[in-house]
Amino acid sequence: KQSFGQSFLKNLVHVNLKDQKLKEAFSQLNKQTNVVFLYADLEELNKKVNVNMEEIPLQNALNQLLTAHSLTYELDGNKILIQKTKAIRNTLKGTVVDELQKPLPGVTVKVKGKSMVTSTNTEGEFSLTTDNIQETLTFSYIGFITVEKLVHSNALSNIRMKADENSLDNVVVVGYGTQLKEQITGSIATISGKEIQKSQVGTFTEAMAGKLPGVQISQITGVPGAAPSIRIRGTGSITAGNEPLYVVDGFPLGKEALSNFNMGDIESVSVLKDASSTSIYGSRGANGVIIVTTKRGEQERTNLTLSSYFGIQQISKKLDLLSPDEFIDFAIESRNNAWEYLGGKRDDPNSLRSPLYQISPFFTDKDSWVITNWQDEIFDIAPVRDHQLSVSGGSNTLRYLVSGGYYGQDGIIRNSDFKRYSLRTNIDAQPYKNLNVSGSINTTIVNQKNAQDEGQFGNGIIGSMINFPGIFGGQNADGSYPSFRGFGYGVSEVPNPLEFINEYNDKTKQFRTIANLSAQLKLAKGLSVKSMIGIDYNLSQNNTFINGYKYNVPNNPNHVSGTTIPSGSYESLSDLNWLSENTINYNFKLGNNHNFETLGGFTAQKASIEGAGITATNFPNNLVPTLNAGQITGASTSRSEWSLLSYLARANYNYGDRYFASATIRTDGSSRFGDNKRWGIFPSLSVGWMLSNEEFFDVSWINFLKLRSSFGLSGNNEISNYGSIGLLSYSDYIIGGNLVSGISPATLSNKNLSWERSEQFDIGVDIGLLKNRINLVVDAYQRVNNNLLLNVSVPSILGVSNSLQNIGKVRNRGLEISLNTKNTTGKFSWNTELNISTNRNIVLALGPKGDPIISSSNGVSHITEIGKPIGNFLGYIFDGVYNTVQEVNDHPHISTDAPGDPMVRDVNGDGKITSDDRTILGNNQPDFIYGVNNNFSYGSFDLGIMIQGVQGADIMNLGMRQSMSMTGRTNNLGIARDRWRSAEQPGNGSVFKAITDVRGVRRDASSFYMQDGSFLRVRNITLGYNFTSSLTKKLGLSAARIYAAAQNPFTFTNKNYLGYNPEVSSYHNALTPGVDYFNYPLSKTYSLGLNITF
Amino acid sequence: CKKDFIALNPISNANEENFYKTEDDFTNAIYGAYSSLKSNGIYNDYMQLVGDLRSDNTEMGSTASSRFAFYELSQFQVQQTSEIVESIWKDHYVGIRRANTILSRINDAGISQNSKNRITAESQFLRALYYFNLVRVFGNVPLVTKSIQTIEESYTYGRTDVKTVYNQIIEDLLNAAPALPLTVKGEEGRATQGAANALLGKVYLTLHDYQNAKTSLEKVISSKQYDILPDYSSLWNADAKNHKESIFEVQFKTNLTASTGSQFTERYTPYLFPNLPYSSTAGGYNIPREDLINAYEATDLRKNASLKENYTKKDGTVVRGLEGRYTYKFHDMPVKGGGADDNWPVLRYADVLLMYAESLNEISFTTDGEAFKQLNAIRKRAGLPEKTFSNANPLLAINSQEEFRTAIEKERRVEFAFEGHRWFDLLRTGKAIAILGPKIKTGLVAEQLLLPIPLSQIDVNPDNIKQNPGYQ
Repeated sequence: KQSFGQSFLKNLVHVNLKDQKLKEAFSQLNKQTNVVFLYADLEELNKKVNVNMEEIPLQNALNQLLTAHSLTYELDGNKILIQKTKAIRNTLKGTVVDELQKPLPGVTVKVKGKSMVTSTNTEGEFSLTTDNIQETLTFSYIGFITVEKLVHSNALSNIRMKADENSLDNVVVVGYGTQLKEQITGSIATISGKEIQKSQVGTFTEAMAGKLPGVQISQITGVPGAAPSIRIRGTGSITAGNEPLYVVDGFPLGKEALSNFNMGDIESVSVLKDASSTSIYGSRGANGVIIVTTKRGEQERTNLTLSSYFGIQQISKKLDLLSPDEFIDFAIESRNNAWEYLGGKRDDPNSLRSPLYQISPFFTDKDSWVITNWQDEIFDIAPVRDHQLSVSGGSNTLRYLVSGGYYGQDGIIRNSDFKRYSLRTNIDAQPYKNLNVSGSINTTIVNQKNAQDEGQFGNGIIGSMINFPGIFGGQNADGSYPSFRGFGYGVSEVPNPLEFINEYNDKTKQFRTIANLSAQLKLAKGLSVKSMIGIDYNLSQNNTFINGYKYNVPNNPNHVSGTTIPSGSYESLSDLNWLSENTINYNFKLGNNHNFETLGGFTAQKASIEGAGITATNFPNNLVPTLNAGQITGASTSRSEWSLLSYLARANYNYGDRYFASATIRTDGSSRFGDNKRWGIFPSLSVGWMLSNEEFFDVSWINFLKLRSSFGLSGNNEISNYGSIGLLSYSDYIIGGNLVSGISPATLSNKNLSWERSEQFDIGVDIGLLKNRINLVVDAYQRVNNNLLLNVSVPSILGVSNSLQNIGKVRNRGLEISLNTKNTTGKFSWNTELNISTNRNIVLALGPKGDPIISSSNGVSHITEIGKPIGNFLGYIFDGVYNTVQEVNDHPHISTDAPGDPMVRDVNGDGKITSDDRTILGNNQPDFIYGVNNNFSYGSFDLGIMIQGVQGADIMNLGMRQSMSMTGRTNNLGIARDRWRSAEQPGNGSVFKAITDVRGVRRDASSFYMQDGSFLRVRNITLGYNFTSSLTKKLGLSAARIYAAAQNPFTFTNKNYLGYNPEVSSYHNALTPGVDYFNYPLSKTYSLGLNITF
Repeated sequence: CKKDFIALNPISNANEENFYKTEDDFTNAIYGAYSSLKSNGIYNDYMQLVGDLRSDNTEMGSTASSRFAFYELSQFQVQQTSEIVESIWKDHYVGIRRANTILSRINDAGISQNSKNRITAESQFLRALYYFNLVRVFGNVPLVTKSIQTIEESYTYGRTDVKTVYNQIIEDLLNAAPALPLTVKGEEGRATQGAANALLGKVYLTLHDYQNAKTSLEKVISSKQYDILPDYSSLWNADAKNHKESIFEVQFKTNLTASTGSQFTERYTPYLFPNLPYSSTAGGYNIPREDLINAYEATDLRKNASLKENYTKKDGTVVRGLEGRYTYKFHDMPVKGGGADDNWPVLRYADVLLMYAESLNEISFTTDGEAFKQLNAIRKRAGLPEKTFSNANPLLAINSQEEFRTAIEKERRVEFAFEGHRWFDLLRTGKAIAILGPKIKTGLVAEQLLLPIPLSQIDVNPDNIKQNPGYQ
């Protein structure tokens, strides 16, 4: 090996050769230095050269002379051996890891300025030989920030790559393809699977709540596994549904929320909001489109990962209810008041009273009471768990990902749960260089126990729990239930809430497989064709069995005990949906600056739905829950179909990365529409201008600035499958003692029935400041939906009371702002994502004559009229309580009104209280919605805090019709303590008196039931710790993270909000939103989790 | 292929395009029109409750909030949002549409003339019956006599005055009667000549057109198809329904799988009646008032066949009073969940005889004439002594036309108790305010003689549909 210790190498020498053999140089050098040169008779040494070197070190002289001729020298004592150059190579070695010190396989390693390239192996190691002892290498990997590093051959290098938080956004999944983010001219919000998986919730859409501007995601019920409601850019449709279209791996599945979709499988979600992005989905795009892309295997990167968490849930809030003593006091007072109103005396004994106004001896026999706090009795602490295991990997030509998941959530109400088992296989193969084949199979099984939770007090746990007083306990010794059923004395028949929990069995099983196979063939440069076939098969089955059981109040001799009859039912629904999709892509360049990406396609989709239902009763006992043991009381099956045929095209144009345009068109033919209106055309156009790429643009702190605008049409086809055809229905009758079948008109024909037409205009700006440390996106839009599919109330003289028409027009205008900032970087890093959106909704046209639509939820509660937002609350204005007879007489009143009754406003001023005095009381649509997500990391620790809020939404608490009816027939909310008792004891002036009989408007919708639904909710706090690489190595892992998280830990509401969950909406549709009617409360969840990569 | 792919027809429903072609189609269609009779808003509940609950005959045995609309009905405090008026209105117009659809389709159908005539007449009969109910309950109502095809058209209908509606009813019945069969042996439940004429008689009587009432009722009598059963209690035997006295009955039959059992039977049991074969909270409707119980003469056999004043629990305790009294006429114990076998009598021969007597008396009071004969035939079956002119017993004496009117009113009250007649009788004779007024705590005024138009109907078409006075 060379030794540079010999000082003679530094001796200054000169060499001068003029067309002489190279070996002549050695004799010249020998003369000057006395160094002996040894050499064989090499061909190179006989080459004639011209050299003139003056006073340079011997070492340099030799290098110059020899290197050019592929020769080298070696020192041997004070001799120098000249020989041919061996292929000397310097090896540069190292390991590439990510921030968690986890090896990164498949990273591309390039020598800067040379063509040498390699990639890291499964251990993240690379090895590169070069003829230099050091080189500048570049390391690049999708999803990570590219690193440049000078690497020496004499040391192992550890290269750490940081994930690029914006990387997933670099390429955005759009309808029928992908697009570079910076070239997008529409309005698309994206969220990574990683971000989604930060929440400990059951459905991926719930995890998106508050994170995307313009997307309102509301958890309207706490039923385990229940999917939230989603509104993208407001409420555009009145009756045809406002849920977005879901597209999974390119397959449009429909509008039912995907609660059976495993969150762990999600790579990214794109939410298409404006018409330029949605109109490619034609007659289904009007409410926005949610595109889900699943994870796929990666080349030469075998991964085995395990993610797991365990959490406990508890009720997020308890209601203030009357205590047993307070209830009894209230119940007795209500009977006395009612008896007095009818002309009796307050202190008349039972023997003088009508039965309805008698006071049960049980009420005053305190020793017989079993004091119970029903909320404590009903709500449990319940576990939730999630386990995900996935293996992925592959080679150049074949990549795979297999994942399995289990999510199990027990309800905070006993006997309710949600369990999801999922298995996914994604395979991508490249059998030939120009052919790519991909296949996916995703199977999910969901098993659910449904508690008899919601519904009126007679039909559900929540209502019964609130209304059943705490003077009764659970089951009696003989297994019967104390209940208000059969109790007599004018109480409402509230069952014991435990009846529902113990005696009702209601289970749903769901099996769903989504599978698709696609092949893409490259025909020429930029030209490819793709064909996909897919199926979605969904089978759900529901079995119920209600035991026979007894109700009885043993200590109440007058109680009429009874036994219920066991009954059961079975329902199944299968939905087979297939899709064939054929597209052609051609990307080309004209000149240097005109870039085109074009797409054309043809798709056909058809679904067949089959339903079956059987009911049975009179089971002899509770032993056999299947229907063979009972008497069948009803059985029917039904089938229906829909189909859709579409042609689509898109052209994207990019001029010099400065000017962008995109045009799309789709035509849809749908089986759902009338003969005269089968086909619809949905075009769109959008343009963008990236100012920051212009030469004249010279603002150093603005590194990215793009203006964009779009306009287009999309549609909504969400009506029943045969909505345009006048259907006949079957009705039984008896003629001559025999059952005969009657057939009669049920719906009206409408050959002109068609899709809703949504016209949307969007203008937006994307700004990146300070090297993208601050990113701002602002969008303003106007969406006008016309030809609304309106199931309008029609005069009942038609023989039908509703009919579907293309009538009506609704406008939504809104503003969305999203601001992402990297506040600090480095060891302590902090970034903030903030978004705020506001939407204003107004009805522009309605019905044949523009008449308002009055809607009922539990009684008339809403009105939708021209010039106002959809679904305003309608009712009387409650002005407090009459205190004296004089006050009653001084106000317009109802003939039966007396002191203590509610006073309502004579809105139209006609001196009378009539239904015309009902007026608008508010709206459930918020003034604005917002979300703030803060992520901190310090060393190995990370902390995320997600806050979501809704401001200015009103709620009508119609559950209070029972729980604040003030009849004393049921238990009531705690605010009943502040009731009017007499002119001297008027309470707080806003709670009417207790009286058994209901008169006047006290049960009609009024502002008495209105509450402020604004809230700020801390949705998630997660504190995580990443194991250091030294520790993970010891454990034989490549990465590990543990975390503790709290989901929904705090919710701040207005003081006057008396319900469980301000996002509630019991009768959830556009016309009757925001009614609180005994809904399953939300829970808060505390969990511990673990992510490991082996 | 392209066109077929998206041209899909319903699989699980017939549709208007492929129906109304064959004789079977029209038979199914007329059965459909009949089946409206058993909707809640017509004769499975509400019409009979309007007839008795809204009178001194019955009251509610429970005022649980789910029954509040019924309690209000019994207290003459009906709200315009009441589910009862809502259902009465909607269900009758559903029935009318069914009849109108048949009438608009049958003329061009290639079916036999006989069937065409009969089904046309049946449709007219049903339409007349439905309008007769509507006009008595609501007063002026929209008169629809064709199958309306467009929504727009439905908004043009306002409330037609009562007189025009009655003219249509009379025209329909006059057309229907001769085309209907005399008997429907084996097809009990379908309309007969007798049914059309008896209904026509009732319509004329309601209009105080006594001469025409007499003529129509005489047709029923002279047809010799009907007679009163000797034993009043056998009228209510569900095993022997569609008997000689029955002229038109809504047909019910217990059935676990089809909705063909009568629900009213169960609803008329006492509230929380423990003696049903299963436990039920459905009872407590149409509970006899003390006032009605006292209206029966001492030896009236009908009382025990019509109502019970108490019941005995299995443990031997006797339940009395409001919680113990109940209607006994329709007492076929319903099979669990499948309803009961009891039919609903819309028209029976005793009604024809008493209406006939009433017409005769209104035309001219004839001492101990034909009218007396008919009245006493009914009394005789009830085990009661005859009422005669100048009877020594003042309780049995009818000495004037006015006294005969009172006798008829009293007789009808107990003869037809719980059959949904009382309110309409008092309405027809103009005695409602005089008789009921003093018995109701809040009194009774003329505006309350009609029920309110359902608010939903005013909300949907406020220009043309206005509320009845007193309910705004």
